[in-house]
Amino acid sequence: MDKADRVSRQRAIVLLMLAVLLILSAILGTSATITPSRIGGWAVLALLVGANLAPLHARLWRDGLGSVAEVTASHRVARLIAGFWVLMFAMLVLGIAGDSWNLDGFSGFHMVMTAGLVTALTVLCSSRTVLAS
Amino acid sequence: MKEDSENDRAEEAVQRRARIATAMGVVLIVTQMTQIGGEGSGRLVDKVQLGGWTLWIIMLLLFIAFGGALFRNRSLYALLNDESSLQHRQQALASGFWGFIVMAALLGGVTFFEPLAGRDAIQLMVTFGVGTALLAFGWLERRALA
Repeated sequence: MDKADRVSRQRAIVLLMLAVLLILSAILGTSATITPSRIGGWAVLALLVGANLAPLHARLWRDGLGSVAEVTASHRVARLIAGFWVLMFAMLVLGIAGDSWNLDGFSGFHMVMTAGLVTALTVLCSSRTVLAS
Repeated sequence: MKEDSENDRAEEAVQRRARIATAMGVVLIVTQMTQIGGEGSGRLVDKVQLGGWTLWIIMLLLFIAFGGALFRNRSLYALLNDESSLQHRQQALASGFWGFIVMAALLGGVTFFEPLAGRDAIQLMVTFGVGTALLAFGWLERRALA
């Protein structure tokens, strides 16, 4: 149980760092400064974050960290719901104000995906931190 | 007696809600797919269209958030939003999140080959996210009723 708590806390820290990296990479990779390596880096980070949010990830962890994975699984839906509402709000704002910002499709997808993934990941981190404390 | 009739009304409303959610999900996705790629030159008609679409999305979100029972009386509201319904709604919203992400990833790929207007991208993502949530909610409710 102690080991599970420790691993859970370490995972929360790693995921939080992933969220920060994703935001930084999104800021660096806006359409004005876009280079293949920057968008590639962002895509790899987004994929890592997505993999951490997927139900498959919880199943994979279940073997080694049974009790924590069970509780974490109950938080999974909550974090996806938080991500859904943030995505919705961000998109409605961008949809209404996008013309005045001269928003292109790439920037729209980039901003929206970063916002959704980071929200879902942050909720996940906070739930794990609560578990570990 | 009164309780029985209220239960019957709630059951009817749940069945109707499942049908409506599925139908609205299909209608939303189909109609919005046909409207993508317009000129969007800031004409009044485009602004009206955008306003109508935003209003429609807000209505659908209210439908999902309150389980289609927003203007029902208190007891019927409670019957329509029982534990299984709340669980279905949560699962539907989680599906909506994945719908958003999948569509965003697809559009991100498309922008490498073809320029895409920001508004079109957003409209597609919102449509797909909300549509997925509605379809998932309708499917889960129908499955529970079967």
